[in-house]
Amino acid sequence: MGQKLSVVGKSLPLKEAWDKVTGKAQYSTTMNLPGMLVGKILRSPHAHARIVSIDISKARALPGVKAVVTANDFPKKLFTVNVMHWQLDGGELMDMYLFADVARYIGDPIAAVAAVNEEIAKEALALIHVEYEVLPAVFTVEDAVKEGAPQIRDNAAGNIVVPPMSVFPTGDMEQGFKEADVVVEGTYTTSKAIQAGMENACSIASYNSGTGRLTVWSQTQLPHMARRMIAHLFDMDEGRVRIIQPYAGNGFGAGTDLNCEPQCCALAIKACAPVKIMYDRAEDFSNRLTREHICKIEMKIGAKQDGTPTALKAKYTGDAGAYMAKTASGAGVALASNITCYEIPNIYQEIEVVYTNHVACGAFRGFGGMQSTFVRETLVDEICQKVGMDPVEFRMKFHRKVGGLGWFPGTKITSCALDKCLEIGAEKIGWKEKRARKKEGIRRKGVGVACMGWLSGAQPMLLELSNALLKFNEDGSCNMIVTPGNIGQGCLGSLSQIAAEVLGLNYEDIHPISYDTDLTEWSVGTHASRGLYCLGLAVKKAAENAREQFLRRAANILKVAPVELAMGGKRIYVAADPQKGISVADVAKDAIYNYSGNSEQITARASITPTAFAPPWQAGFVDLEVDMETGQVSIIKWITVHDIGKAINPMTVEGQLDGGTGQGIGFALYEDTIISTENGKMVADGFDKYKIPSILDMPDNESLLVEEEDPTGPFGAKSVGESGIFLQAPAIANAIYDAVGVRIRDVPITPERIMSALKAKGQ
Amino acid sequence: MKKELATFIVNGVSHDVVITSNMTLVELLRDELNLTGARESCGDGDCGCCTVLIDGKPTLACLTLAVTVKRKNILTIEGLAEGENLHPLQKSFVEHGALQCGYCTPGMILSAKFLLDENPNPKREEVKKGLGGNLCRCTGYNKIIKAVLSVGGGGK
Repeated sequence: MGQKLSVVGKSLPLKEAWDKVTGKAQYSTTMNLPGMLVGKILRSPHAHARIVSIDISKARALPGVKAVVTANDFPKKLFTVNVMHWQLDGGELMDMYLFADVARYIGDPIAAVAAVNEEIAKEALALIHVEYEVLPAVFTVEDAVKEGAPQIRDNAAGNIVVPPMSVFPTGDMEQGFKEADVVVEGTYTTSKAIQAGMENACSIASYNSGTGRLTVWSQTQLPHMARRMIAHLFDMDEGRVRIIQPYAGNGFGAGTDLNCEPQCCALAIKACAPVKIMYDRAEDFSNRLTREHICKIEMKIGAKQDGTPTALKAKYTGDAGAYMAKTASGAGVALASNITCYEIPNIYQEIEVVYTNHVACGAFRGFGGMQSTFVRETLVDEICQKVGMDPVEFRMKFHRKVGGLGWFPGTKITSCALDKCLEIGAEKIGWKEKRARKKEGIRRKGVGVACMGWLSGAQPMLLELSNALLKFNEDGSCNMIVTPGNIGQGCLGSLSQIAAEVLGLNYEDIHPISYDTDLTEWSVGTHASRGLYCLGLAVKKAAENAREQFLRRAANILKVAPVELAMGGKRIYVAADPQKGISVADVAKDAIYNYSGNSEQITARASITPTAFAPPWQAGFVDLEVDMETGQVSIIKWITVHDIGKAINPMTVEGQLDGGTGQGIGFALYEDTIISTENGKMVADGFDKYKIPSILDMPDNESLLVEEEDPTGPFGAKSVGESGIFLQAPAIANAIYDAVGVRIRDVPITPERIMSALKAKGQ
Repeated sequence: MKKELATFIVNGVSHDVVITSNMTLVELLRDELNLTGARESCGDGDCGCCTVLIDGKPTLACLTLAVTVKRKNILTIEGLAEGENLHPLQKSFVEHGALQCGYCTPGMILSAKFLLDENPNPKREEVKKGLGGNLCRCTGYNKIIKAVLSVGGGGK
C-alpha cells in the first residue's frame, strides 16, 4: 500500500505487439511444416443416426490420400473435449469418442482424411460411403424430457444429464418469502452465443514414430490439461505428448475445449506425417462448442418495503446439446456466482440439464454468470420500481461487503469498491437528471444500471495450480516461464511488470516464455479470469525468492549484510549509501562465471494454489433510446466502472473491458446462433448471419477503473478477463423499461421482442 | 485447372509464380509467397482480415482471384515497415494497445493506411467509416480509433 512503484501501474505495450503489427506473428492457421498434409473431417449430416457401416476403400485408393481414419483405427475410448475435466476431482462425464458410433448432432465427426492438398482431401471425403440408420431426434429441452422422447444416450434416462438438484442453499427460503412485502419473478431465456474469434479452429499434429512422441500445435487456453486429455485419448504417457501454443486468434473460452486436435492427432499418427486441420467459418461456427448451455432461468426475489432483500429462489435449466462437456460446472457457476452480489439471507437455487441433438456447449467469457446476472439485475430493477427506491441506491445499500459470503462455500469477500463504481458511473452518465426525463414521442430515452461481483479464478471449486519459473541470464535479464494460455489478453506483459517491479528491473528485461509444455511447468492456463491473479501470485513469489538470492550474493560481494541492501534501477545497493552497489547484471554474471567454486545460474520458482477468490466488482450504466415504431434500440452512451484492485497495466485492463463491452452489446442486442428446432442445425453459421459488432455499431463507450487494493492479490490486483461482458444485457433491459415501460426477459433483445412487448402492453 | 506463369509485384518485389485460374490472392500470398499477414477468416468478405492494398486501395484478398492482380502493386502488412522502422500506424497501434489477439490487426492497419492516405486528418466518425469493413472481436475498437486518430492528428 502506498509503496512507490516504477513498472507496475504503467500502460506498457503488449509483449507480442511488434510481432502482431508487422504480420510476423504465427498462428496455427498461418503455420506450415515441411511435408505437411491437409486434414479434413467427414461429419454427420444427420442429427441422430447410428453408423451401420463405413466404406473407405475408394477414398483410400485416391492418389494423394495419405491416411483415412475412422472409429475402427483406434481403441474405443471415452474422452471429452472439455480439458477442464481434470480440474475437478472426478471430473465431468466423458461421453465422446474420437469418431462417433452414433452421431448425435449435425456435424459429429465420423471419419477424417489426410491428403497432399485440400482439393484431394475434399474429394476423398466425398468418396467415403457411410450407411446411416437415421434415428428420431430432439432439439429442445421441452421435447427431450417428454414421455417417450427419443433417447440420446443409453445411460441418461429421460435425456437427463444433470438431474434437478439444489446447490449451496443458505437460510430458509420459504421463511424468507414470508417476510417479504414484495415479490418479483419471471422466466428468462438467453441465446447460445458463440465466441467468434477471428481465427477459425485449427490444429496441427506431428507424430515421431521413432521416439513415439506426439506434438500438437493447438489454440488451447489450457495447454497442460489439453496434453493430458490427448494422452488419455490415445493411451499415451503424458510426457510423450507436447502441446505448442502459437499465437491464437480466438479464445474468450473457446480454448477451454479442444476443437479438431483429436482427429488431427489420429491422422498424424496414421500418416506418420504432420497434418493440419483448419475449419472454414461455417464449420467453425457449427462445430465449436457454443456459450454454456443455460438457456432458461426462472427466478424469484422477495424484499421488504424498504428494499431489504429477504429471499431468492432460482432454477437454471440447461440445454447441453449432444455432449456433457461443461454442463454441470456451467450450471453450477451460474448458480454460485449469483450468491456473491447481494446480502440475501435465504437462497435456494436448482440446476437441471438435458441432452438434445445439437452441437454441445462449452464456455464463453462470463461463464454461467452472464445468465444469472442478467436475470438478477433486471429483477432487482423491478423491486426498486415496486418499493419506490432508486436502483443505484438499492445496489449501494444491499450489495455484500468485505467479509461477506463469497461465490463458493467457505469463501469470503476480501475487497469491494462497488460503492465507488456506482458513484462514479452515476455521476458520469448523469443518472439523476436522465432518470427524470419525460417519456414521450416516438424515440424515447431511458437509463439503466446493473452491477455484479465476479471472481479471480475458480478456486476453491477447481484446481488452480499456478507455477512460475524465473531464470536469470548473465546480463541480469530474466526468462519468465509461465503458462497464462496466451490468447492476446496481455497477461504476459502484466506478469512481466510484476516480476520487473519486485526485482528492480525494467519491463524489457523480462522475457516471457509460455508456448510449449515441454518447457513450461505445469499450470492451469487461462479460464475464469484467473491469469493475472493466480499466475501473478506465483510470479511475485518466485521474484521475491530470486530477489533474496540476488541480495545474498551481492552482500557477499559488497561485504555487507543482506538486510542492508536494496534492489532497484537494475542495481543492488546499500540502502544507507546508494552509491555503494553492484549491478544486477554483474551479480548474475558472477553467479554463472564464478571461478571460485560458487557457480550457479540464479533461478527461482514458485507454486501457488490460491484460496481466496478476490472478486472484482463492476457497475455498468447505459443511456439509450428506443424507437417506438421499429423497436430499434440506439445506445447513446455506455459506461463500465470496474473495481480492479490494482491495475498492473491500465491500458491492458481498459482493453479487456472495452472488448467486453463490444461482446456484451452483441450478446444483449443481436448475437444468436439460432439452433433450428426443426432439425437441430445452426442457422447463423457465419458473420453474414451471426452479427458481431463492427466499429460502426459501437456506441460512445468508456471503461473506467477504481483501484482499491485487494489484500490477497499481487500488488492488490484482481481480475478483469471476463468482467467487461456481463452488464450490458441487464442494464440495457432496465433502460428499455425506463424508456418505454416494458420488461424484456429474452436475450438477445431484438426489435421484434420489443415491438411484441409494446403491443402486449397496448402501445 | 488452367495454369499459367504470372508476375506479381508484392511489397515492391517482383515474383514469378505458376498459378491456377481459381487461386485467390490470399492463397497466393500464403501458400506461394509465405506472406501470412493477410488471413482468411470468413472467406466471404464479411470480416476484412485478408485486407491488402492493391495500387493503394483496400482489397479483400480472399475474394480476389490472383489472376486479376498480375503486375499490380500489392502491399501487404509485411511491406509496411521499413526495415526495423515501423510505419507510424504500426507504432501507434503498439503504443495505444490497439490490438489483442492480433489476427485482424494487419487488415485493420492497411485499411487505416488507405484512410490516412486519402484523408490525413480524419475525424472520429470518418475513422469509424474507414474501418467499417474490418471486424475485431477483442478490442471493442476504442483503442484502434485512438491509435488512428493520433497518427492522423484528428485526435488532438
